[in-house]
Amino acid sequence: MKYFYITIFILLTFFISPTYADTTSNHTFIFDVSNSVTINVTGNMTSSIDTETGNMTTPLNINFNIVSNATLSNVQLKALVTDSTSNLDNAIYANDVTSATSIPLSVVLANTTYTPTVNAIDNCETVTSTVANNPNAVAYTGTVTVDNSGTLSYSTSNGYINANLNTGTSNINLALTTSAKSGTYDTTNYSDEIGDYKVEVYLDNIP
Amino acid sequence: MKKYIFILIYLLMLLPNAKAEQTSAYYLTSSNPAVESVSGSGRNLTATIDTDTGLLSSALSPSFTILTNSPQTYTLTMSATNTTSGGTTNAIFAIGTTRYIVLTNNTVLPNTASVNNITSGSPTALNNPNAIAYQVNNPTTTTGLTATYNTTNKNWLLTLNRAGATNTSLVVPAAIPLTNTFSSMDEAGDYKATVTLSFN
Repeated sequence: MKYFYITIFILLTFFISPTYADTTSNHTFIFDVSNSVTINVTGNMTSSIDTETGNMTTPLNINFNIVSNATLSNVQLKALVTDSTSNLDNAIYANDVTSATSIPLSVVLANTTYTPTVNAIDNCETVTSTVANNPNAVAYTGTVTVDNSGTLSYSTSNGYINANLNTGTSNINLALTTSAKSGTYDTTNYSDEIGDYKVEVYLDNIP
Repeated sequence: MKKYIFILIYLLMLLPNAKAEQTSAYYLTSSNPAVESVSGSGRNLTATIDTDTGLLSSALSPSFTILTNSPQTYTLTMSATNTTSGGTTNAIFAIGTTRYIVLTNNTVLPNTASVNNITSGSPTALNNPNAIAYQVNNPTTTTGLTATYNTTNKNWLLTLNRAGATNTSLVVPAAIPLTNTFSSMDEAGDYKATVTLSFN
């Protein structure tokens, strides 16, 4: 009797439909690719001042080459100088706040040995600067531009340049001319003292 | 239970990081070199001499503007020369604490001995034709500028401790000449001295 049931079980096992392995199989892999932003910086970042005119002997410029796999909004080009109380102050001055691919501006450079007062820096960032009121701060005119169909705008309240960039390769270029902004370099009493005049520049709010 | 907590933490770490970044700071720098210059700033450079007394009709006050763009200490020298038939000589001398300047006739040049007779401190009218001495003040000073007479070199050492424009003058008051330096031996002509201020 025991062998009968074993035989029945074996036979039933054989009658069960065999399970065949599929020849193909679908698997879906989901990768969350985050923003990729690469920035290379180049430029002519040193010059000297002609004391007869206040103009620079060679123009200063800095270029941020940005490669991104996504559009970037509100990237901030900031320029800062150190005042006599060791605070950092905005160094960009522009009249035009219209969104554009090129914005004319002035950038203040501050003496690092004899640091200017915040009032001196502010005086450089006015329509009409007067040399008696801005010792040790000198402004130079120039432009900031963007390519790859990006846009720029100047934030008067924050004192920096906002940039909206498209996917791909973009360049944000800050180029100063050799010309000192009128009324910011003193060629009469030489109140802009000897030393290095410097401005710190960087991009902020990069995802 | 601990296993689930670790898994949860791991999953949270996999979430995209939304923190905004900034690039390194870059510096645009332009160097402002030293400015050291002196320029003549005029004032009164001419007068006439009274033929009877030798009195100057007005004070002479050659003036200079010193320009620097550094508050560091600078030294300058103010000196004066005149012209003789033997060349250029020092025009400044002192008797005690009083300074004098010798003007020489540039129409009829005196010889060097004539000037030396005056600068010896004991002039004799017959021995200094065409040279006349007048008292001269020390250079004018201001905050950040001092002047010290150098008895050896017979000039002034100016010490400057301020940036910007600084003015100084060497004043020859409208006065009669040093005794025994003006006489009928002094011929008609222009009597001159050249005052120089320079950075050391």
